Amino acid sequence: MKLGDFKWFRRKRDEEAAESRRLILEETQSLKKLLRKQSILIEEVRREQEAAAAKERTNVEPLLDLCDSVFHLQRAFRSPGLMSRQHAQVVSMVSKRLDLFASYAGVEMILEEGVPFDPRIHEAVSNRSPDSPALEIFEVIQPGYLRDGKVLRPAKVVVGAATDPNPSPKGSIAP
Amino acid sequence: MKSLVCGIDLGTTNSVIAFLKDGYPRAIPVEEGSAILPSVVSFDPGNGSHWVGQRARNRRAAFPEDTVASVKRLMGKETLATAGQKSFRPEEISSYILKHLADRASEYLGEPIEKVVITVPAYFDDAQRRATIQAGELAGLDVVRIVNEPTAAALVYDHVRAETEVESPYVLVYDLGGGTFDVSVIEIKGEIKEVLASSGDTALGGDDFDERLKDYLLEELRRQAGREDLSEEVSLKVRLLDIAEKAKIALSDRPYVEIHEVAVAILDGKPLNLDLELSREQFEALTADMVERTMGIVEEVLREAHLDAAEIGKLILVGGATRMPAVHEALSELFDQTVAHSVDPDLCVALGAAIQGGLITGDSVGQILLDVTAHSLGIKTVDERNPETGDADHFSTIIRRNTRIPVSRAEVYRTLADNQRGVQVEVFQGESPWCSENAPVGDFFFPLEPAPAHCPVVVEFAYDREGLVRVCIDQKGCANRKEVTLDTRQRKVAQEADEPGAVETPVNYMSEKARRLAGDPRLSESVRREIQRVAASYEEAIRAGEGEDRMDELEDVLLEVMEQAEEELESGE
Repeated sequence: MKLGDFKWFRRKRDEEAAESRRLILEETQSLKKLLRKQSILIEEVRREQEAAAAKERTNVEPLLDLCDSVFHLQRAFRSPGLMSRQHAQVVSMVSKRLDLFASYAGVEMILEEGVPFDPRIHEAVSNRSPDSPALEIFEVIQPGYLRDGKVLRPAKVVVGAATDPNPSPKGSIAP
Repeated sequence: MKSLVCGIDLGTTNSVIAFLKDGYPRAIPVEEGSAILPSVVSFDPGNGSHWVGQRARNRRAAFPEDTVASVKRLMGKETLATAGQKSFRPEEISSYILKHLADRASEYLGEPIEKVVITVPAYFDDAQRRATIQAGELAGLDVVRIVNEPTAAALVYDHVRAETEVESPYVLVYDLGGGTFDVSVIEIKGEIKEVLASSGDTALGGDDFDERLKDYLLEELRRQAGREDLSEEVSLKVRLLDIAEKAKIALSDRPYVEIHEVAVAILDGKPLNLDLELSREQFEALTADMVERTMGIVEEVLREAHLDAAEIGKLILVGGATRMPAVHEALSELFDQTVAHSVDPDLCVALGAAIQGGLITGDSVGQILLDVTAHSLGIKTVDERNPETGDADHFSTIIRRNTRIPVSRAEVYRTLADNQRGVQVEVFQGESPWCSENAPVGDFFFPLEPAPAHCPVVVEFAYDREGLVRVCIDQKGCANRKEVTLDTRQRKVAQEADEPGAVETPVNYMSEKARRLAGDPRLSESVRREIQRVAASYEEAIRAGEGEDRMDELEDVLLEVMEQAEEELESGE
């Protein structure tokens, strides 16, 4: 190989190496920019989600207050003989309409009695059977609320010994 | 990769975990979207499992023997906490809380949490501090530092942009939580914050205010029912406590609250309703002794620190119960100055711990931009006349400066004359006690229904992030209301006009971040100017709806200058 060829190869190799370095640098810068943009975007999305969650929470408060009032209204007339069958039906219908309205806002009331105590959705305020390990809901004192599966407020409940230690789930589906 | 150091406020009633992100401290949602975790642990003796937080608190009344709360009171002591058949050292119980917080934070952040800063009350002795470190170790955490709670709170306010510089090095931290009260005086010597004196009351907190109001409501029910024998059965107690807490919160924002609660009790088969109006004045009269008690402790701490009230440069509020206006008023009266309350008082200590964590790892802490009111907002009243002109000129503040927005606040005013025809509502913003020295926002006439003099008129301001203030005026008892929306930015306040970008709100998170960097005094003037210039072009292009290519180009330039700025901050040049 002639000396000129060697120099030409070396120059060519250096040029290619410089070009590769330039490309790597460009790519690195572009990647860094993308990463930076991505982190900013993630942050923005998170902030928006948090703001939306806070907004949703605030907006349903008056609805929850109304649901509370209807629940207590129903309780007030629960004693037998206080209302005619038709009156009781009126209260029940209003309550159902409110349930439906709440469901449009993604809100679900927690007010079932006779179900096992679940500390995620129930807050016990009193226990009628302190020695019993298996407890169920005797009485709902203040309804609880779920929104899109998240607990907004747990239901305040009086608990007591479960009548059946292994209650079968309601509406169970055969395997 | 640098490991993250989270900050934990391990409280008696509640705990919070926070982290530093881009120089900004954030609390992490740990339970059903909430950042506040009740400091309660409950065990299932049957299978040895346990619950922490709200679920544990929910089990407390059902399984009191298996549930442990307020374990912080036992830290560093020989006393064991019993749950079921087992006994636990207090630090073991605390470790469950710490582990739960770290696990939830880990899930949220997508990286393991190994190092933490934990806060403790200033009065904690060596044994109590060691027990806290042990709790962290039992939770598998490396406790890189223990920080005093008031110091952490002060650290947050060091980085709040809206706060004005004060010359005095003394800071008083007033911490009224759910069940405890602490007050500390701190001396700030550069980066060092030394607690000069600290005291408190471990049996006084916001819950006591609820309890007091609940007792009042029960008395009111007894009076309405004409039955002294109305017993405090569980369901009634729970309902009344709920109502009391809601009323207390509402009264922090407005002068009256209407309570319309159906069937709080059933008596002889008939519902007993609670239908009344409660004024802030009544609530404050009911609870005045408790606020006074805290002020007595504040004075005691000042004496211990050998300081006069006038020597305190800054007052910081911590704990949810400090949202009560009576607390602000009592402190403002004693210290004759406004109170720092712009950071969420429930999260403040954890945010400070997160800043401390960031400082340990060498992260730069930026100036915290809060959505707060830049100026106080209020109306003109005739309480005082201008000595020169003789005109009514008193500025009655409704929303104080540095209040977090969006916010809604109301105050009650009274008419001067019988059958007064109306009132001219003149809204101003500024800090002077004289309206003539503040900036006018707008005014309107509100016609009144005929009524005797001293008829109450409630003026409510609702202020949002866009700078709009919705003024709602209500002549009480007359079904006479009016709502007017005013734009506080239409007539700019002189100081604001000089600030770059103060008038227009940021267009997105990038422009917000650019503005934050442009306002960072640690950056060189040339970098800050460059960011300002590029951010202005970028914002203008967005507002003008420029094409995608142009936006990409500007976004790249903006990212580049922001990156340079962050590198400059990191290198500390």
